[in-house]
Amino acid sequence: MQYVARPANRYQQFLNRIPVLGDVLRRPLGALGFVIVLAFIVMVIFAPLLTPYSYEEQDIPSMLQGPSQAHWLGTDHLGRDLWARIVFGARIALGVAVPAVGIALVGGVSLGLLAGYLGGLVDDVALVIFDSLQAFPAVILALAILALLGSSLRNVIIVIGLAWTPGYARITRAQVLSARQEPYVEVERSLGANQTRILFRHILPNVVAPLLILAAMDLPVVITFEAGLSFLGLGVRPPTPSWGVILSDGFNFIRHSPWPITWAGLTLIIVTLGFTLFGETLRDVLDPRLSGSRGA
Amino acid sequence: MPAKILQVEDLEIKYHTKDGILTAIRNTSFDIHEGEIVGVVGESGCGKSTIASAVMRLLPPNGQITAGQMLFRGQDLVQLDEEGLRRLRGKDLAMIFQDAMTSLNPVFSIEQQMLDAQKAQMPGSGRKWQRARTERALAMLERVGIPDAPRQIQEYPHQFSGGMRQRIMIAIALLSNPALLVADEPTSALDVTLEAQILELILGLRDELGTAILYITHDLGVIARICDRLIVMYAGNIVEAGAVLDVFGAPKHPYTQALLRSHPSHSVRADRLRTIRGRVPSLRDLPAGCKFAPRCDMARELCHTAEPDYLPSGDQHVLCHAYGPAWEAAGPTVALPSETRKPLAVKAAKAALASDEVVIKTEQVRTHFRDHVAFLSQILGQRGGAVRAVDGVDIEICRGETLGLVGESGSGKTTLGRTILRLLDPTAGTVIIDGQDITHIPQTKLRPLRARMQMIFQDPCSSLSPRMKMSAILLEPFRIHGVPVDDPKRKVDELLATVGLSSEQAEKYAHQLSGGQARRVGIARALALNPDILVADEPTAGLDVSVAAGILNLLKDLREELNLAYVIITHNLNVLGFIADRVAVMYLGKIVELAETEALFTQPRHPYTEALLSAIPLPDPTLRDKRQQIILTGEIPSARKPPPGCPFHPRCRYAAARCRSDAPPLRALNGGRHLAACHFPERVKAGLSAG
Repeated sequence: MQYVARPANRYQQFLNRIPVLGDVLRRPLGALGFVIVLAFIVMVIFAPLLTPYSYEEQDIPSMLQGPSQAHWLGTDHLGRDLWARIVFGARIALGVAVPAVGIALVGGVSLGLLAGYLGGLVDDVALVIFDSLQAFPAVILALAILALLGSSLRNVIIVIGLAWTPGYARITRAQVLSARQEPYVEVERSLGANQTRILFRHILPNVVAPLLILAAMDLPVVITFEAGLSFLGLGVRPPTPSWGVILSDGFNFIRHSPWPITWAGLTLIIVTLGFTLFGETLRDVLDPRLSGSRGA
Repeated sequence: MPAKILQVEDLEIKYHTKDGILTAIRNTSFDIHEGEIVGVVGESGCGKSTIASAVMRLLPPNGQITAGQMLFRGQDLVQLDEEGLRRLRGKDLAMIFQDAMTSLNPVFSIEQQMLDAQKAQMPGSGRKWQRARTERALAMLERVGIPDAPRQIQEYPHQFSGGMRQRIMIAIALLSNPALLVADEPTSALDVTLEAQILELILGLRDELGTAILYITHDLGVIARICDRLIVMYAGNIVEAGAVLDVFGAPKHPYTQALLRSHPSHSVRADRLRTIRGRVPSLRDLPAGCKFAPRCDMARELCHTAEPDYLPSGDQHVLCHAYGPAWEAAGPTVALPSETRKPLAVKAAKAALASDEVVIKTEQVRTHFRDHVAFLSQILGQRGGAVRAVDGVDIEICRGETLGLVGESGSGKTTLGRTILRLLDPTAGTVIIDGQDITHIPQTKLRPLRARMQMIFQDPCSSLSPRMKMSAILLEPFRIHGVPVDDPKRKVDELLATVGLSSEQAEKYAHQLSGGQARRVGIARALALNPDILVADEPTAGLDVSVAAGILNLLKDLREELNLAYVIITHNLNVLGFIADRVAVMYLGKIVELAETEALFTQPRHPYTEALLSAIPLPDPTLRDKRQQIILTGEIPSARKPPPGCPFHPRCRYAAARCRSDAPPLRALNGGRHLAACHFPERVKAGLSAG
């Protein structure tokens, strides 16, 4: 319980100068999460430099090998380098997660603002739609839509974006409803501001912070979800190296080599953990109730 | 003299915070005798509540008693372990808090909570014990004035009003017949009428049960009414202590003197209220020497360099150099920077306007809040009731005039203020601003008009957008109305200067300002577009007396400089005595009395006004016995179902049969300027000066 005031060292001083990230890095779990997320992003950007192999280059004679000097993580059932597939798989993971969450964010915020601010019939109808969408488990919803549209990378993104939209819309709507009651919003009315100004200048900025935190925490969920869809054969098609595809392939050959499934699973766990830790710390730092203290 | 029940000696309390260790309380010593009420007073941040929590050993986890002792009947509370404390708390020691809603557990009925509270004292589990506990609980509820106790005891905290909840809290605290009761601002959130009831109750219980009470408050009026002795705290020190009559009669410490001077009741119809310069220092950077020196007009060089020692003078203790041996050699008085605000150049065009020009006029305005009835229920013929918040009000306010609106919570005063500005749409009647009927004009036409009528909102901090700097907040009115500003920075500085703030505040966010500063920014924003009408909702609520005095002075100056029409909404008649030209007293959505301030204070013509006046806590203990106290019984009824006849009759001491059936109209007395809605205005006698 005792708090000992330590003299701030160089690193601490450096952290003090970065507005939000500094506070995240100050917490050990936040720092761990950040390092993992950073490593993941490096993997995505520099994928071709990190491995001499291509992700689809087959080498049947050396299939299902364990880790070796030539193939760091071993090979899969077609002799493809697992490290290369996992590294390029990161591109798919992020390439699906970011636009999907983006769609959910933009769509959800717009719908939520409309429902929350207009109220009345618009609100009632919107709520019914959100409820019906959310009543389906996301996988069932995705199955139905992908069966209808056919599975492709683009469709996976759309489906995930659609499935996640109601969540964002609900939170936005709730935030708008509570922000509308705030005295400073009434002040704006008393000053003679019109609805658009109140909505976009005074309500939206106060609504966005919790949504960004939610988005950061949804990224790992969406990455896992995409892997799940791909595992079921509904998502990304082979030979594109989604982690779900690696898992699914590895699953078929688990009696011959445990490596594909081990590495893909481990990567998924570590990346999910990293994003979650980062997102949670970010939430603690940016807690909406304390968010005003950023100017200090 | 009765035995000492609590002896606090050389207490020191420190808080561990992220800025290091802060000392909140320094060498503090005081005693409480049996059956005595000791008041602790001071501005926010002086350590009053820390003392209260320390005595209960309920300091937050980062707080620590680092020195001293607290002997409770000879047993040192500082050394006690949790087990020992548990045995004392709720038995010999009890506490009541400011917020009775959050201090009562919402998921248990009052009965469950009251039975629980007795476990320590009457631990038996048989049916006989059970019944004994219930009976005691019922007796206590009746004692604190909860009507129909056997039925009410089954209910849950949210089913009671604020005043009733505070009574229940007191009942629970007193169940164990404690030797010492710690009361932390128990009436600060209540209306004056309820406060008077609760204070009366506390006094009665003390006389009956002999409980010693440590009473924390920021209100000198409350201290004067109930306390035997008082302790004045400043920045973690006791600066003065003594018997209430002595200290109020001849305050020694400059801080005590300043607090007493800034109390508005001392200045009915005075020109200006006295304020205390600056603010309570943060524990982070306490001044060297006397902590009060930077705000003290008589401070000499010595005060700024050396800390004073306690000087007993009779029974009164003072922490001030001025009464010590070194005062003669203390050096010259140190001149402190002046804090006076530069007055605005009077705007000639505005000042020239006739002052009998009516700018606000309402005719039979009603604002009712209808219950929300779901669509399906409406089809099934269910009709919702309505809360008649404002129920037929006629007022006229001229340019340069200040109308005070006063009444208890639930009287409809804030709703009326909002209706005048059409922040709420009236259900019936008309609102005329500057000769223009604005009752039904669409929002788009109303918006340009809003520049001319502004409101100062009740909560100073949350009415400032948390993500905007003060400079952006102050420029907001110009942006909204598309008024070009040549030099935004200068404009912001100008506005800040108008309300007596320095230009450094422009770069700050709302949470970095003190309550008084936030309030001033709110006023500056309201003034930005040069309005003609200003509605101020509780402009001094939640502020310390000296800060409130500064705000009231500012409002008064601005009215004179800008020739504004003011509506000041408050539950505090003291405020209106200082600032208002006329006062309208509201009760259940209606105006029951409307008169010029002086006439209303000296010669009220409605029994409700009379009761409000008598409930004002005045900082003068000698009035305690002389002043006729009219304690209103009960509470303001629901505006959903106002009583028939005169709405005030259930609480009126003059009510006759006629009052129960006929509603008295608001009629003119004394030749027209004094209006009252009462059948028997001649019966009402006691004004404030009747004391």
